[in-house]
Amino acid sequence: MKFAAAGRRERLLPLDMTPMIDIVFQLLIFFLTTTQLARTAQEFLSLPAESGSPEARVGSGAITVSLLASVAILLGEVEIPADRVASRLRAAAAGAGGEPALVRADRDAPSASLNLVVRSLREGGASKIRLAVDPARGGGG
Amino acid sequence: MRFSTPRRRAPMLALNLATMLDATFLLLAYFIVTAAVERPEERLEAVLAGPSAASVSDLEPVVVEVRGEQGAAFRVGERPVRDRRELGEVLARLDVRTPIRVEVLDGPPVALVAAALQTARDAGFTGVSYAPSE
Repeated sequence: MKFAAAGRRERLLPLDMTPMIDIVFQLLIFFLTTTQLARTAQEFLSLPAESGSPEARVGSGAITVSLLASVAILLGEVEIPADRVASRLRAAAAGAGGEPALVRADRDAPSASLNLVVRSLREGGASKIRLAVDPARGGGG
Repeated sequence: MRFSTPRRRAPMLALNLATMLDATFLLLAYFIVTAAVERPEERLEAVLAGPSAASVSDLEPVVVEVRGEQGAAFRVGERPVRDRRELGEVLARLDVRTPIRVEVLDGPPVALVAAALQTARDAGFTGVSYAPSE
């Protein structure tokens, strides 16, 4: 008996890498773009130059409020319209169940904005805030 | 019986690694760059105080007013305080168990508020509260 695969042509696997590389690049561009967008608020902030307090290092805060020097206020990454700041922050603080809120405020932002944020958070049930500071700037500006 | 396998050549895989390496290096460069952008942050914690100067402690709270005026950035009680260094000196004379109530007017920048909170922390006070102007 002869088990021969006579006349069977060799199978060549033409593994074209081009589509895979295309997809990798697409993914790369997608992540690059979305990461830049998410970081926009952080880029515009120049935090107060302080060293911070050791007990506040643990945890980040249930909600994050950012105050830009341009007086814009953001909840997470979304800007809140000026006429809805108090109500939106009250609702967010109430939803956080009394957890401390992380407030990232530009050092040049007016304290009137910070006061508005603090009043709204307090009315929503927050008992503490954590004010983000930048120890790399020298700790004592 | 003879089981013969005719000369069968191994399939050829034309696997060009150069493009995959390019992509890998790009990913590596991306993660290195984004990791460097992240700046370390610290936090200052403050209890949110109500409109009145009521305190849970037996001691009467000391009110540090953040005013941001020329020549009197702060006020401790009725005493005007020029800057954070002088504020530190004033607070250093107090009992560290005394609650500190930082009252913030609407005018000064956030940097001064942070300076008041930090100076109180550095002086050893643990009961530091933030009271916005009403």
